[in-house]
Amino acid sequence: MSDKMKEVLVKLKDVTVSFHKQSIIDDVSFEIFADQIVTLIGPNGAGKTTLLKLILGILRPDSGTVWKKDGLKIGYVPQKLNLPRTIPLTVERFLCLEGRHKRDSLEDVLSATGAAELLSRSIHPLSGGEMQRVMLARTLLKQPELLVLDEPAQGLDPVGEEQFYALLTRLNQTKHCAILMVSHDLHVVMANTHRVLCLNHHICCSGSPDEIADLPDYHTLFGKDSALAFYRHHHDHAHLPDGSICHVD
Amino acid sequence: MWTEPFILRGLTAAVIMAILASPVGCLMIWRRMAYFSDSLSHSALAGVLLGLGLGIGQNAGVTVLVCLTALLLTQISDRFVIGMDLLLLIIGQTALCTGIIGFSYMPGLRTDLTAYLFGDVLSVTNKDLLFIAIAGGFCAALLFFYWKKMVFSAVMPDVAQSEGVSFKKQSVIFMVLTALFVALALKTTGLLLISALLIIPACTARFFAKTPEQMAGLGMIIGLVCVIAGLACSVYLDVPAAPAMEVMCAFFFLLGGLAHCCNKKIM
Repeated sequence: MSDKMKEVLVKLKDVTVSFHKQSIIDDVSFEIFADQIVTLIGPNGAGKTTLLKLILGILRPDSGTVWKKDGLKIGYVPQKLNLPRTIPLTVERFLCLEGRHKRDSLEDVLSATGAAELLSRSIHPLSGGEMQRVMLARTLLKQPELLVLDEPAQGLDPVGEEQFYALLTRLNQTKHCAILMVSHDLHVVMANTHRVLCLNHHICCSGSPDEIADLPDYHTLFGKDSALAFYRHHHDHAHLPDGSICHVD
Repeated sequence: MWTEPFILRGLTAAVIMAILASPVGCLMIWRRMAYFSDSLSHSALAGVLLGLGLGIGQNAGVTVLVCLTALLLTQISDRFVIGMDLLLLIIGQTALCTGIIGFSYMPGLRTDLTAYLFGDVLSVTNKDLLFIAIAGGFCAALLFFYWKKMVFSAVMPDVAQSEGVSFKKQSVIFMVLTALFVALALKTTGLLLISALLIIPACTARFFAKTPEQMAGLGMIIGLVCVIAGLACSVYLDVPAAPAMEVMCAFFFLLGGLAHCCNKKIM
């Protein structure tokens, strides 16, 4: 299906954000379509989390517009939950943080993310993988049209990581929710994503994994041993030491 | 003895304080702002002076000044180079010292300083009680309407914000709540012991609670037992009431901690 046939959920136009006179997001425009999996990649400090926060409405842009479909339901799984140990929480109570839900629906979402047995457990001793599943389950309670995940597989072992991405792909197919995620796991990104955005304050390049794969040095990067491939791809410009951009034309 | 009006008044004030202390204390602990009540309560002394100076009464003075301090603190960005914990310490100590210096200029009040610092629950008047009931009512209403959102915001500020629970708004409500609590607890515990009675019963409840609501509820019960026991010590053994309440709280905390450790075999 081409992008044109799909509904637009989020549309960013010429968005700029700066902190302390330093530009974090520089003139970024893109759209997220229904049902699409979009992955945001880029170096540390490139503004990936800031971009997510703009879409979530946690931050406002200095200029430009962040348009969202009327009544768009977004589920957010943050990068790392810095949960105060002083707060006693069971998984059940955690799932009901923003409102009460029937026990049935709690069990449903937990089984959808493969964490059914955790319902009455305390949240503090959960492993990283279990916690991610519980957080994902929480977002499913309100049947989101868009899931936003910030490095969701961070801290998971390779097997857990693969399972988690498989789970995301399954949710995308069965629940028909679009997914926007930040990820560094490029081998998975390439396999499971509809569109890749490379961000370094501005959008360096974007396209389907195939399009990116067509770039000249793809084979040296994402060859047979893709899991070990080091990510580097062709840009039409270079970043000079003073922060300016030099186009290679 | 317990039917004496001054003891009944003191008991009522202490009971209202103990009931509200646990949920407010829980929120404070979860938001990692235990220092906050300390700084606010230290500014209460200056509030007493303000109230007497303006002729609006000391309760009103304390409420106004503590609320203003609290709201001022919400305006400080967490990106400020001097962290919030440090700022709270500086503000608290300064407010306390300014208050004490102010008191030294008021000969009539100088003798009352201990009462303001460590409380004087048995001298609660009917007028004080009315104020405590009104402030307590406001606190209870805020807690009732915003509890769920404040818990959400304390657990996951970013996620709560993305789901329409504004962190800023919850912070303001929380600060006003704390300010009201400080004003109503001042007479019972004195400004130096407010934090202790706010934090310790809630911490004790943490050992046994499985949900935030259990912690707040259990903390209430523990707080009630402590203030009543503390008051009884004061009446029968003639010891100062607020310190006796604090020691009771610490005693239960120790018991709770021991029970918790035996149960979990951590030690």
